[in-house]
Amino acid sequence: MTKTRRCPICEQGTVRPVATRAAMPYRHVTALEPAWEVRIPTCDNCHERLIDGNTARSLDAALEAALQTLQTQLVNEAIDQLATVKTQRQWEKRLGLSPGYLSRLKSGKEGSVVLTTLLSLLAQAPSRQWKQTEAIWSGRDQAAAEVLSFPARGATIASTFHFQQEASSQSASVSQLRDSQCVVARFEEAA
Amino acid sequence: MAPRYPVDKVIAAATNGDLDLVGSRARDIVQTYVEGFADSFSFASALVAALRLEHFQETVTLGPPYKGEFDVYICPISSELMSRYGLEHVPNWYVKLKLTENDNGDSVLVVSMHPPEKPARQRRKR
Ligand SMILES: [Zn+2]
Repeated sequence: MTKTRRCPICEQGTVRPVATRAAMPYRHVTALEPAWEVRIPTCDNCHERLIDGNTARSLDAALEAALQTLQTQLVNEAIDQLATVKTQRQWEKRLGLSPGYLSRLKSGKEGSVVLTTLLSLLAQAPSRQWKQTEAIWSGRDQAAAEVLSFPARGATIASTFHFQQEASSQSASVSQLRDSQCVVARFEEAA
Repeated sequence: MAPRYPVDKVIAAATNGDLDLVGSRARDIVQTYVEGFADSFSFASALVAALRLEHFQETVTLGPPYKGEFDVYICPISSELMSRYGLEHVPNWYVKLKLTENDNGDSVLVVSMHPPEKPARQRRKR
């Protein structure tokens, strides 16, 4: 809307386009400042804004541009923080990302709300989260974790576990690990 | 009781795209239900275009800054609209509007649009 009109809300003021960069909700963002000024029909008396079709499209274009900038900025901050404890490639491997994916995210060539959120969460405590993600992917079963952490035989069993993993490209089952533990115990008894 | 504004004129204006959403209401819809302002506007237009006389509830006046009378409808949305906007969990909508004029003629001003806070009352037959 480019012309002025009488305000349909208060029926006293005049509605005319007013340029603004006031923060608005957009997609998953609660308050986002548009990338450029958007002219929104606004009443000079009650100060209410009116959203018509053209205004809605203009707002979305400016908000989408702002969202891309914000996402790239968040991703850059997060990856830089993560890189203080492990290399980008190590994080890519841990998160199942292809080589160079984090660099593409940083350059803004790729974008993902889920990944941006995940990386930002990881970046809040990178060292601890590296260990946490290691625990997550070392096996789903609590019993497996306990077997693996058994102090006297942990190294041997862990080696068996990794050997089995590499051989079968699958996670070792708890029963396999218990079998391994028995083998080690029998070996120790025999010795 | 009949609506203050003829429903066929309201529908015609919304179908033409002659509709304004009060800014704060558009913002609420974006915040809670849809992705952006264009979705918010197109959903409002589709919703108003789907109004029927039997959805009419009452005519009300509002406090400042709102002048004039407003018609209230509680309208079920089609399964097509539900799936287009991901609103399967919100089958009914409360809409408060009035018919105004712009350069093109009739124009709808939507001042409320949200799920109903209480169940729709049965409209009394005249
Ligand atoms: Zn006004």
